[in-house]
Amino acid sequence: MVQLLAAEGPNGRFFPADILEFAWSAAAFGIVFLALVVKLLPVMKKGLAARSENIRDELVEAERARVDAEAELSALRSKLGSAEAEQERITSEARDTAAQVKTDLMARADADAVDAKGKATAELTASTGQASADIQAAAAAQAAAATESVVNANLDSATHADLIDAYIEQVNAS
Amino acid sequence: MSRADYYADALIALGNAEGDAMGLEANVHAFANAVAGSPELQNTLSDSSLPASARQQVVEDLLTGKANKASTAAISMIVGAGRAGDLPEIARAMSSKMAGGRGAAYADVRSAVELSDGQVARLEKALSEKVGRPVTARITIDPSVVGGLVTQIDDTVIDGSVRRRLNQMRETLA
Repeated sequence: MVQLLAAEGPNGRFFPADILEFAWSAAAFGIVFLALVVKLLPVMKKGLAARSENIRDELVEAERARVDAEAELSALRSKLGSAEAEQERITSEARDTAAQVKTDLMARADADAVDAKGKATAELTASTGQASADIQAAAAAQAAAATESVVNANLDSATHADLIDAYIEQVNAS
Repeated sequence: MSRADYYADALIALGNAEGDAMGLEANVHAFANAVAGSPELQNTLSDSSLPASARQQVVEDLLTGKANKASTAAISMIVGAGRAGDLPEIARAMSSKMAGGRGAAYADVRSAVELSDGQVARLEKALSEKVGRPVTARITIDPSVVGGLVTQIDDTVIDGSVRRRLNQMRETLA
């Protein structure tokens, strides 16, 4: 082939004037190409395979992370649901407690009012009774003092003698 | 025995030794009545800040010419010992013991005024008939009686005083 091309001579367009130069260039290219194919291609394949492996691992990891995230999300949603239920329960309990406290306070207030009214009535009655008793005692004391004054003023010797004689008669009669 | 009983026994022994126990009894009673009827005299004779000799001098001044020496000395000794306040009780104890010694009853009579001898005699007669044995009455002047008499024979009290009637009226009014 080379000899054939060499026999044709240069055409000025594709082939150089020295056809052997072409042949040697082609041979050198082939050698270099072959060397590249033999040496570089396995390296490139290995690199690509490693990269593919890395990408696959990353995909697996990403998938795992996605699954974990979904699980976490599910757990959080579950917790959120529980929290909402707990919140509802606490709110309900607080509402019930407030209602019970209100009921108790009203009952106690009613009882206190009844008790206070009873005490006030009893104190009023006692005060009225005590005032009446005090007035009666004061009137009795004044009446007794007045009587004693009158008696003392009228106790002369004759009256004393009459009282003593009456006493002796009383002893005699008893 | 009380302190008054011891003094009474001593006075009776002194009266018997002098041969006039009845006179001593009468003088002690009279002096006790005088002390009871005069707060000023009672305070003077009971004033422990005064020397005993000064208090005894008061007794001697009061009794000189009115009581025999034995009575004056006995009463002066009691006052000097600081027992002027016990004179009424001593006099009652003395009368009670002397009456008991004669087989008679002793009547402690409280009156607002002096009784005449006739009133005392009629009172003793009435009391004797009431208790069934002779009664010796000793009169104690007590202004709180107001009028009438209060007699105590042993544990029996016959209260015919105006004070009792005033108290009854006071209780009725109260």
